[in-house]
Amino acid sequence: MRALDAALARAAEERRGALAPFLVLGDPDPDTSLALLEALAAAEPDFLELGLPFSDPPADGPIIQAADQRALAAGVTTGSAFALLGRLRERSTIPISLLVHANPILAAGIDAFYRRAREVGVDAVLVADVPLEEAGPFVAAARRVDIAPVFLATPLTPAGRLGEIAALSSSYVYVLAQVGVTGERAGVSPRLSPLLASLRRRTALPLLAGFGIRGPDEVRGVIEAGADGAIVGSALVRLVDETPRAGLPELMHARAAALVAAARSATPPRSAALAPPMRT
Amino acid sequence: MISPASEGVLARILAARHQAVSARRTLVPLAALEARLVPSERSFLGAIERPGISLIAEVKARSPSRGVLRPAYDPAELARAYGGSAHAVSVLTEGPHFGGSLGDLSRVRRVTRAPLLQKDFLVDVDYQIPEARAMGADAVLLLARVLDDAALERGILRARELGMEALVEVEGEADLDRVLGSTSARIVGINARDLDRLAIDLGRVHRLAERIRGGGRRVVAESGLSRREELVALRGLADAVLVGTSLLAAEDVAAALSALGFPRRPSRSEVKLCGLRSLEHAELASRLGVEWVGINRVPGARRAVERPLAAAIAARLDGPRAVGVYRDLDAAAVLEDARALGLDAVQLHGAEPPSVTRALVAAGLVVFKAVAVPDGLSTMEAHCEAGARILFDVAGGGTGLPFDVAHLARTLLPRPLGVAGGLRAEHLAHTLAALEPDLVDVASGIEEGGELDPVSAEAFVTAARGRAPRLPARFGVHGGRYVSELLVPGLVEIERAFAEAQADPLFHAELAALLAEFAGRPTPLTFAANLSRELGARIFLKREDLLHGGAHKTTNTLGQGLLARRLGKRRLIAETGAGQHGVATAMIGAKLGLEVDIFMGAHDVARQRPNVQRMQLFGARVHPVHAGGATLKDAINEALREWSASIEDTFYVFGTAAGPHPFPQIVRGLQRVIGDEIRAALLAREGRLPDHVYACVGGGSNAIGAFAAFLDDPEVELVGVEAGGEGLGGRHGATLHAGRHGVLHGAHSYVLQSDDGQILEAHSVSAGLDYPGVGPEHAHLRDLGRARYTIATDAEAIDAVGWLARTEAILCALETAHAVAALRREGREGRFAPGALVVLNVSGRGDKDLDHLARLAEGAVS
Repeated sequence: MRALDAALARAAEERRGALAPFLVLGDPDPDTSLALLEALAAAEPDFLELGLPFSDPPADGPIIQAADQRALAAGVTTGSAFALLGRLRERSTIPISLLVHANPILAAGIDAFYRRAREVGVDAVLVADVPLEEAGPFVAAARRVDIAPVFLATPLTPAGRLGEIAALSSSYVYVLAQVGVTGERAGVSPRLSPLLASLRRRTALPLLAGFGIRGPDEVRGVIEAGADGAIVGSALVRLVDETPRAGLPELMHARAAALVAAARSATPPRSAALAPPMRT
Repeated sequence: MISPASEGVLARILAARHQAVSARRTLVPLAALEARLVPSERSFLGAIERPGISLIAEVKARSPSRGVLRPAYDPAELARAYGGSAHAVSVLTEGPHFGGSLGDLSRVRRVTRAPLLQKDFLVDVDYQIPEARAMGADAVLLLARVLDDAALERGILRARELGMEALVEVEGEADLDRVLGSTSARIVGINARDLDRLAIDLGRVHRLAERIRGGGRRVVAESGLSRREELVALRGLADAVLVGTSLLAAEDVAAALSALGFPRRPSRSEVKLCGLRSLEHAELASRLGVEWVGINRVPGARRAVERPLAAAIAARLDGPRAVGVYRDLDAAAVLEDARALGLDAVQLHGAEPPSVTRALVAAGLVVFKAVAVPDGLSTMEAHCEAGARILFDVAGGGTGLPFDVAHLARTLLPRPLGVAGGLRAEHLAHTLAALEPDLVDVASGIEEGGELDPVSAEAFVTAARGRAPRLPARFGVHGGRYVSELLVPGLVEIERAFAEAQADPLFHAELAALLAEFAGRPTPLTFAANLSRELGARIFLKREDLLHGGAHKTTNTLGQGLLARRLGKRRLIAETGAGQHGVATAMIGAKLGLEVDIFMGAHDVARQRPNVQRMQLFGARVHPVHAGGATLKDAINEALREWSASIEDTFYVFGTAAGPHPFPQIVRGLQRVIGDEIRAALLAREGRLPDHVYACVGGGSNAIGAFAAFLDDPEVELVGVEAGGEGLGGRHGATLHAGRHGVLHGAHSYVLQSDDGQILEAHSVSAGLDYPGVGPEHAHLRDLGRARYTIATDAEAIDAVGWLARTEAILCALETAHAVAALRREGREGRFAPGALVVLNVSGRGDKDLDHLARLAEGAVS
């Protein structure tokens, strides 16, 4: 079983929410980035969601756009990003899910990209600008190396299509908590709960909510709305820009730990209906 | 229409008409009229004969009795408001007293598919009837009071020869005697109100209608009708009603139509699958996405289910709403069972009195009342008033046989209208066309061997929905829809709307009118004598610079703007490079009353100032984008981000033949008029096709527009000219030369990119060609070798602006100048055979570039 799937299964057994922090690989430079990834891993989230920097991300707000630009300015390439992940692997077994765009994958060659990802221990890949219609080659390449293809489900997706998305997904479904691009918003959208309920009827996979989750309150909020966990990006990525370099890893760790604690303190409605928790 | 009290008015109107017609007879002789007559293809009689009472809705500005009805009279706008409700439109064409004109017929004809009745005072049937047809009428009004028997009959026959019908209006019994005795009138109009116009005189209507119908003729009731109850009272008497004043005098025309009993007809029917008996059925219904399912709770019925199973089925549904079907229970029993099953809708399938309906509606349930056709029709109205949704069915129900729609003649159809009874996928289209139901209900039609059959159910739902039209998403390996999942439903919606619009003659007519009257199509094809002499070929310039707005972009935004309105969007957003697309979007936004937000690279905002000013003058908001190189690529990124957040009420008007599917198809579909016009003009003028077609290529819309008409003519060479910038060794925008296969902005195409797949910044002196991508169709044409792509550098383009200005007195845009530079270079290299026919697409005018060119000359900017 993939490490990422095992981590999510454990969260479900322990009847607690899951949490994955997100950062852009190589932001603000490879060495600092490695320190930040280690700091995140030390906060014991269930996995890390990591973005490959891209010059023109169409679904990202200013915070993540800026992170991409910083990493690219520091000379990060697909190759060096994978090398960074390799270095992380030497120090941590934390499961990893990658968030990437189509063009860098095509430039590397689809199979070569997924093979390299598997080599450095990536368990799942979400291609942000590849919907169902275009997913064929990417899903095939992922399955060949036992990487889970992850897809987005949104409040605007019709019910029938949600079923198709669920059928094609592995590991988890990335549920958009907001209609819009990445970036923090206060509170939880009222559209999230019906979307989660609709998905719930169609799949047993964990449903993780992402986009716009600002802090511990929102993490608890999305889990109470029916998600199995949360993915938090911009709220952490912004620290890279706002915090002096020296104190950054500690601050990143503290913020991540608070988010993880918030997730653990909430019980996803679905696992509440399961058998009693394992005795620890 | 005219009361005896206003005899004097009528006499004056008729006298004026005689004079006017005499004058017109001299101006446009009858022979000239007849030469251009085409028979009508819209059946007024068919509209009258439809099941149910039909609505003829009238447009007029004023009347002698009521004065001004509509101060800002716009017959087309009114006809559009009537569109989804009226079966025919009556158009007043008399000017002095009613404020109409013959030209109103064509204005209205463009915006509605319904047959048009010309309401006028015909005094000279031999002239005015052909005249009416020539002006676009499908039926004419003949007044028995004004015309003698011979004229009436001549008019009726002449109208029929032209594919039209005559509505013969009678005032009283004496008129009717003559019409019935001496003419072959098929449709007779009578006044619903008594002579003093105070109240509907049903007795009078009855007497007259009985006599008319006796001969198999149709009855149209006119005058003063405004409420549904009045139409219900006409049951059995009138085939159609003509309504004008009550609609025209209303502030809210849609509400007035609803009050009359003619709400907007549905664009598609809801589907109810009846007789679910298992959890699998529930899942099937959910998967098919039907709106309703029926669960039979009638003891002893073949499809009945017990309470526990019924509750489980209802609970298993995800999407469809469950309707419990009952027969002849009292309200309390129905309510108890519905509550136990968790239902919010019930169907009464017996002889329940209206009190049961009323009680259940008061309890908050949706109540469907099955009405057997024809036996139950007499009780229908009471249930309507009690708040039920009517479901027409065959007497007895559940028999698998359809009812005869002839029973519904002269009965006001209840709205919303449900239809059940022997419906099957195979002939559903007929039912949908005849009754335009809001809901179709099926049970036996989806059974095989007495069991609900998933394949039949799917076929039925497909037939009810109509097949969703699709456009091809790829050009070879290029194209596709590489976007975040969030944008997919919006793109699917646009694709469907465009495919439907392409098949809709009304859309074409409205777009054609805008293109001709507002934008100035067709644009000229100018013979460039001096260029021709210099380059040794026959060179023609396609003058898209003369299109309103100054560039070819307007054609695309007019079409997409109409699509946006068709989808009910309230806002347009767009990216823009040089600003021409931004200006064109701002223009259509102003014209259609939509908000407009334009995203433009900050660098382009600075070098194309006049266009920014124009956008703002047209009422658009311009958002400078500072990211990246602050040019077109970054504007598209930001527009896509904005669209992600606002996709439900906003239409993204894409400016070029790139972007995610369906944009490349839409833009090519709209811009191909350029090449079509070139082709027609050259064939007419030169008797043959061009040898070469030149166009500049940024995203590629003007080029694909020029090329599309010639793709299947291999003897026509297609040449695209990209931005060479500082030269291929420096910074440029020559994507097809230096790019690789990749994905940018939703499409697989050629992309200027690093080895790593990061997108590179393009460069060009021209904002519109400054783009590291290119439309997928161009990528395909390049791969096929069907089109040849070359470049022109910044310096060559700047020089070409001046050269074209001095040689042919045309100031072209910097974008176009790239094509001009390549044409000049290749001409001087001797590429053209003597007398070769060459067309260059002048994609836009150069006023926007004057400041920038001046500053470039000073060395102030790049």
